Amino acid sequence: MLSLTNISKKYGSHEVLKFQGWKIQHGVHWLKGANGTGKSTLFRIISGQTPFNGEVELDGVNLKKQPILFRSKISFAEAEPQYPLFITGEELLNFYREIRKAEDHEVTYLADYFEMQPFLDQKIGGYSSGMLKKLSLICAFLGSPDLYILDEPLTTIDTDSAEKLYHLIKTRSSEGKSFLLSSHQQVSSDKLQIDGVFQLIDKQILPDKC
Amino acid sequence: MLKLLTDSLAREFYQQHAGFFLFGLYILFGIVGPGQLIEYHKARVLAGISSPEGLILVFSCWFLYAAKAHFFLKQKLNLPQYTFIKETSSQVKNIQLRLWLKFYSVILLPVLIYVVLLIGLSLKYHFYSSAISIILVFSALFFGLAWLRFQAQTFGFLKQKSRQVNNKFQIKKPFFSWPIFYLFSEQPLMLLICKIISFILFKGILWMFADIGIDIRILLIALLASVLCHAVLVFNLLNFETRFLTFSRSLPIKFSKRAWNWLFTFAIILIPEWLFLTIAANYRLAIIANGILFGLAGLFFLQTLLYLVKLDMESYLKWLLPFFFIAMLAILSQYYLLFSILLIICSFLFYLFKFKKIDLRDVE
Repeated sequence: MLSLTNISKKYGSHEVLKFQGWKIQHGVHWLKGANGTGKSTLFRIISGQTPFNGEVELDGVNLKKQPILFRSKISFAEAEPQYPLFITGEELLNFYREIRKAEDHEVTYLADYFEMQPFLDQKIGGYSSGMLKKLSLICAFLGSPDLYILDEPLTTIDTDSAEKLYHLIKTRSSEGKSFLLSSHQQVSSDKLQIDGVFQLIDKQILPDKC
Repeated sequence: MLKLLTDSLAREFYQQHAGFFLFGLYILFGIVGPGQLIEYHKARVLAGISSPEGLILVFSCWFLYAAKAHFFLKQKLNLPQYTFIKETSSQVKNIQLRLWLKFYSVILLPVLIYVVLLIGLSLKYHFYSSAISIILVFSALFFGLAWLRFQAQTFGFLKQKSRQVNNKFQIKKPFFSWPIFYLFSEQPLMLLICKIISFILFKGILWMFADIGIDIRILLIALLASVLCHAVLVFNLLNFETRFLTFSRSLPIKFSKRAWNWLFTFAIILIPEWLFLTIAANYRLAIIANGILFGLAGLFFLQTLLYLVKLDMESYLKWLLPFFFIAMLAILSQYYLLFSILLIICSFLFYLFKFKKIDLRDVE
């Protein structure tokens, strides 16, 4: 389903990632790794945010050859989302709704689900880090992409919202959607069925043995 | 602490306003020959000190500069990366005031140099009242800024942040307009100063060549000067995109659409210049159309240039001068239409083939 071939990425002369290949099938996958190992960089590569050497394919669609089609098949929520401070949550969600061709009711449902509805008419500059994170998760869940890439989705959100997130991931994965998550926190196996656990060590992605 | 402040904030202030200082240097040293330089400066300073109107003009420029510095600092100190500067507020009042006075002496250095010159000449030519008012106004400005900063650092926490609640008449902001709203909501003073300088330069060039009459080349040179006034503005816009709009890179938006969005943004930013041009061209459509294309191409190319130099201000400034000369040459040799089309094509090609290969966050 998702395959990465001959990937390398440098920041100046500092090489962050270099590996031959990595393939994951449909399902929920968890990428572990210490701080600074390149998890966020890898996610930014897969989501088409940053240039890299190598090839990324999702169900046969190549990121470099068909960038728009590829991007329409994935959804990315960043670890530390940043949005213009002067727009409202509603304006951001409307933008995502149009781009992702989602329905109005999806926005309303997700905003209610994450208890963000009362804050949507406020400017993002006034949001707390938890609210910002929830907003980025709502954006990520709009539309119907095939692969959700969630970078540190559990940080800064409260336990109730974390439970809701687990539930949403379970629901979407039962509908055939795939997930690629990174988290420093232990993802509880009784809350979420994890199909693959990987670890990023020394620029390489290895299956996790723990 | 002072070294840390100057290395971070003062350096950033001078870097971000490099275009403005470059323009100032050009006005001070570039528009007359080396032989006339001293006389030119003397005449300028005397014009400033010999009449109340001249003094008011000088003081207005200082106030504008001081306001710019104050708002720049206010904005920067609200950013998370400058939270550490709040530590200064644990010092006693005198130490804090001294720190901010020293810091503002670095920020106000260009004004300070002119203050010394103005006072010296005022005394030499017996304009004693001017000398006194210069000392008083500059001191008030200098101490006022330091006092304001001290107050904000020490007692700023007492000000309750008003909750940002939506009002009923909120304007809808489509995606393409976000950079424009950024300028209006977060960089209004910069936008205002940019537009004032742009207007002065535009009018100044037309005035210099007033005897020629309506000539498209003169109008385009005036427009070129206005476009270059926007160099730092374009830099700030791209900075904004890099910091706050990177999320959109993972969304299925066509590269050509991104390019069109920027063209639309630049078209809106240049509305005042279009108006000056329309009036100066006496509503001649061919000149107006050429001007619109030239202005858009200029700003769009500046943005492409910034991408290519990866938001490096020093390299950007180095390229501005060759750009200015090549554009001048194209205008004078009447290849302006071809030049504009070439700039737009180059920038579009960049968006189609190179945009995805550059992530400016990597540089950060």
